[in-house]
Amino acid sequence: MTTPEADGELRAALMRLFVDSRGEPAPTQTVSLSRADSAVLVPDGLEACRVVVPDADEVARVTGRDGVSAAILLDDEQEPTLLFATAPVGDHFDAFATGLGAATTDLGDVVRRLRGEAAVVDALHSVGRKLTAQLDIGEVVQNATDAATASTGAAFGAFFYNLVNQFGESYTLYTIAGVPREEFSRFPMPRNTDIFAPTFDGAGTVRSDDITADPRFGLNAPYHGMPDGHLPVRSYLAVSVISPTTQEVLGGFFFGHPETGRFTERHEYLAEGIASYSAIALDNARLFERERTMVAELSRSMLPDLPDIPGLEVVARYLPAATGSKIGGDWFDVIALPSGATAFVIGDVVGHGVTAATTMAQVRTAIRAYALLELSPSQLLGNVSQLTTIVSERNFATCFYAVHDPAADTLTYASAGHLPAVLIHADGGVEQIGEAMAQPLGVGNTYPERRVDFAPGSKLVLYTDGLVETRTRDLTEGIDRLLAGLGALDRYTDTATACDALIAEMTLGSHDDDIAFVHVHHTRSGRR
Amino acid sequence: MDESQMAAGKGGHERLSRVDSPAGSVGLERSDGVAIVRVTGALDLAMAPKVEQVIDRAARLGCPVVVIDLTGTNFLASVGMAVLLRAHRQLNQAGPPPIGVRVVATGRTVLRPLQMTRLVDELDLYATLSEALRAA
Repeated sequence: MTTPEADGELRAALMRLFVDSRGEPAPTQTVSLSRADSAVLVPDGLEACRVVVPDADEVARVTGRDGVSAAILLDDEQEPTLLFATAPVGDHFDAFATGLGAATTDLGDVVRRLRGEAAVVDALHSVGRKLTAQLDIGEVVQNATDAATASTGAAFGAFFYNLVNQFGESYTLYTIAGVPREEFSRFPMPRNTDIFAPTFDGAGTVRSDDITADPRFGLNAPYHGMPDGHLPVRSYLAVSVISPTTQEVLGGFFFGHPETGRFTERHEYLAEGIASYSAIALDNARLFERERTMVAELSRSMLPDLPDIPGLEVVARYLPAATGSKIGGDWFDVIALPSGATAFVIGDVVGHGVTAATTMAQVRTAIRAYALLELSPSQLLGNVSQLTTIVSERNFATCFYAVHDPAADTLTYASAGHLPAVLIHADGGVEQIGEAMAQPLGVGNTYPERRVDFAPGSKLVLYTDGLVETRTRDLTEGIDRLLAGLGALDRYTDTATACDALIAEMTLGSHDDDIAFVHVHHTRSGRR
Repeated sequence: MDESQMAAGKGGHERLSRVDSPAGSVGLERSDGVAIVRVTGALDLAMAPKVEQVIDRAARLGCPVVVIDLTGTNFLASVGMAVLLRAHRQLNQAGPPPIGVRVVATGRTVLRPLQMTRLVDELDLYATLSEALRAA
């Protein structure tokens, strides 16, 4: 009876009751009634899908029609419908119609219950789909709290995230819905009291029509119940959020209402459903965060300690990709060579994640090893390229490698398809070096090298594409902007501050790719 | 991923598939015995594996030439260049007979990364699709 089709069938069946004493169909009419008119005919009120046989005289009075011999009132939820015959109907009509009315009495309850359940399933499904598509813990928790508070009809709801302090109790207020956060910020975190314990221990849902009547309520000093000024709670519902993978209690949802008896079994069911979706979403978010942190850790752990080299002031930065799982692949290195020279390296392995990070680690180590053998930049990159092919068939890496000879004050460099380095001469002139010299490591075979003067006062700047390239700014534009920014670095007295400011300016505070950056300032001649 | 198969079959030209991603799309067509992989938008980390899949499919069509058309590409990440290089090297060694891979690239956004990495030395590059189709 919940579909127009079913309504039509019921109506057709009812129409067939209107027959005369010979069993022939009697002329019938159908009219829609207002709720007020239907209330006159059936003072008890119509139930959904119920069939009622009203008094024919009353019908005639309400509808203003004469000659109504028999009538059936049908409530199909849209509006009450009156079916009536205008010619005499057979003796059986009353018996059949009343019987049908009795038979449909419970139908309304069933339909209401089914509709309610369908609504619960719908609500859970849409909340679940939304929640499990997110990877940001803060968002998951807030959305879940909002959804659960709305679907339980709570006056307010809160999600407490489990943080155990050194005393083994105390929890952090995480999100709140239904009321401003300030309403709660004045209160201490809920403690592991008898009321809260089942939720924080994952011992099961607590639902109470009146929590103030619960024997566990009000036992603990100092408040013995709710602290002064706490939003009044009578109806109470609390559900644990338990990790499906570790069975660990991740937190608890708490819902309150100032009136008693507000939370039903269905609300409990909904809250538990949202809690389990939240648990999946939180698990996902935690795993995602862990992988991200791991790759960031991996990349960071491979960053070198900068050697202290007389005459050279080196500032280096590594910023892992701020968004998503694009971390891993960029690196830099500064190597003090046995001869007294210094090697500067910057590079970028294609790809992201653990694969790129581990390839980077191997390439970086290979470069270090060859560098310490004092191979020329040309020989070094040639050898590393061969190794890279072996290490990773699918990946390549770009790399710029330069050696500063302090005796001659020169830089000898080679580049494996990396972005041009920037040389800032002592007189302020800016020059790009090393563009398009050779193919990336793992692709090319030969790597020519070049030599330039690197006099005291000169600076060398190395970077990866994360610094210059964005979705809205192509490489060329980005490099131009970097060159302009580098030209203006002198306005800072401190190089590190200047570099940080430059990076911030280039990225506008957000970057969705790794950034590696090295700034070398040749402060005085190595010749003494 | 929305992959629809269409056989327009007009003048020996068929649209075979199209895959969309938030930042772009990659489509596969066949025109007079040449497979055309058309990449629009950003050939980035998200797009690269999809482009690679479509190139694999293009290679299985049995055409002697696969054209990767980057005319509508507005961002070429290094991972995208890796896909181009891999296709070039693998398909040239495919067969017999080997499959020729031609890349249509125009504009500095796509060309400069290819020049910087000297992949221009190795890839078979064309400025327009019709040049790539005309080439013997």
